[in-house]
Amino acid sequence: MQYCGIGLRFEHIDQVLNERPAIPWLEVISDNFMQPGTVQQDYLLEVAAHYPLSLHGVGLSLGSMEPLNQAYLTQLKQLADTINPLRISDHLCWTNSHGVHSHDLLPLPYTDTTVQHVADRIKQVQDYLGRELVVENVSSYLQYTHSAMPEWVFVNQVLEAADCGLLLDVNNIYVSAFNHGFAAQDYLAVMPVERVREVHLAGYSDRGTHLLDTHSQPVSDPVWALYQQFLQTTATPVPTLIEWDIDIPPLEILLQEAAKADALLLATHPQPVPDKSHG
Amino acid sequence: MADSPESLAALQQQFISALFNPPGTVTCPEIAGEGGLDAEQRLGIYRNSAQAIHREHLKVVYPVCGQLLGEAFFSQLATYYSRHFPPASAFLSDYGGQLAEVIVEHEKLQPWRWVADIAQLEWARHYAWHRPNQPASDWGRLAGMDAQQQAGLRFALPASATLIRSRYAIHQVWSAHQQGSEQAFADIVLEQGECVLVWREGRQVFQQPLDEKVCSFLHYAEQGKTLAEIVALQGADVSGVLARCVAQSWLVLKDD
Repeated sequence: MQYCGIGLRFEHIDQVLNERPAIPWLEVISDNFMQPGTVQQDYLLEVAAHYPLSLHGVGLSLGSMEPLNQAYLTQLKQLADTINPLRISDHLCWTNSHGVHSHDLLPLPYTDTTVQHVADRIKQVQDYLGRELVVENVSSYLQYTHSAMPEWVFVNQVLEAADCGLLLDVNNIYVSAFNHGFAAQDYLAVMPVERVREVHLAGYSDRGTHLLDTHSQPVSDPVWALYQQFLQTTATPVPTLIEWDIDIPPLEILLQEAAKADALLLATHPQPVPDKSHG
Repeated sequence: MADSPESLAALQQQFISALFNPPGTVTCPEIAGEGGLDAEQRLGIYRNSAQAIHREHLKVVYPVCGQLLGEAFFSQLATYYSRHFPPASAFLSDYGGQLAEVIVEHEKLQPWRWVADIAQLEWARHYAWHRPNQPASDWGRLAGMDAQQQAGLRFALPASATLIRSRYAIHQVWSAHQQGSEQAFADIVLEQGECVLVWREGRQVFQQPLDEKVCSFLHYAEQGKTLAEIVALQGADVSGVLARCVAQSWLVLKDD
């Protein structure tokens, strides 16, 4: 049985539509498909007719002090109401300030104010969408002098305060652990398994002084090991996704990575339960 | 520093400003140095990452400009661009529409100002791809109109379309830089001006060099002139031009 999905990028859409490979579910970057009546959304609706989809966003800017982008939220809700996705997710970060958008996932200081602010916004988004929002831990390359708690405490506090789901990015934990000198295993060990709705796996680039979350490589051995550690803590399988965004390889390579994750998942959970959150 | 919404807002303003300014010009005192990297180096990782995202996007949107200017210079231009026009939309696809302006004004590109028109053409292709679909006009309605009603008709270009009137051979230059092209760049007379229409039908973007008559007709249509006004400007024989524009889906009825 297959359980691992892949991030669908434009490079593979025609092939997926034409060949319909056996993939249990796909995830798309929602920002690329949100504008109604566009050719991009036409493609997505065609894909949605054949595969369960998860919507993964990069533009909600949950940690920004700017007001939530209502136009963005409206389009996201319209799309979600149209395709009824498995999940809607975005990141525990901020991306814009004073009208400027970085299009990158920027780090937050881990303070009580930030916990409250991010949790309030997640609740607003969930109320508006009428669905649970799933939030992803991000890779980071810097820390703030006034952070009052480690990242894993921050993540737990936000999840509790907002009562939302977690998209556990195992590669991001590994990258941040290397960059900030903490033990990835310790971080992973305190993640609330009952809130994990999805797992992301990807490859990083080693830049010598730091690791960069580029999604441009196969999943690394240490990240596979962390994934196995996580699987040992779960009673039932959690949907897992292979992400690849730069130097995108042939679809077959992505499917091989997904098959590898499936093999690990099946070794831990010999009789996986189908994902019933769709529909 | 105080843990407050105001301090978080101030931090984000400084941080985003630092991303789109040269290293060392905007500082964020709240960023910690750690390991072998000081605070500015750590901030630099984010600056480089944001620049790479925007540079790669511009390379995808402007592949021919990239070939004409060379990869190294185009990368410098992308950084210059991001500092002068930081992204103002949450959607990356909205970013990059002012590259032609930057090329025209860039000191080092004065001998290459014509590349601005290629940039305009490439942005028109990107724009066409991202504009919403639009139903075709019901041209059959014209048959039921009397002469006075027809004279008062106004047209528009399709939502995906851009009409570019250039002093340069932009379509030829663009074509010469496509994979497998038989057109040699060196053989093109650059100053041979062209009028080019870019539009999308379904999942395909088209571009077509136009003769002067069609170009003028579409130009007047875009300006919102009535059919009678266009006839007055172009002469009574515009019916063939109109029929061609309708057949090619280059026009829509303004009130549709």
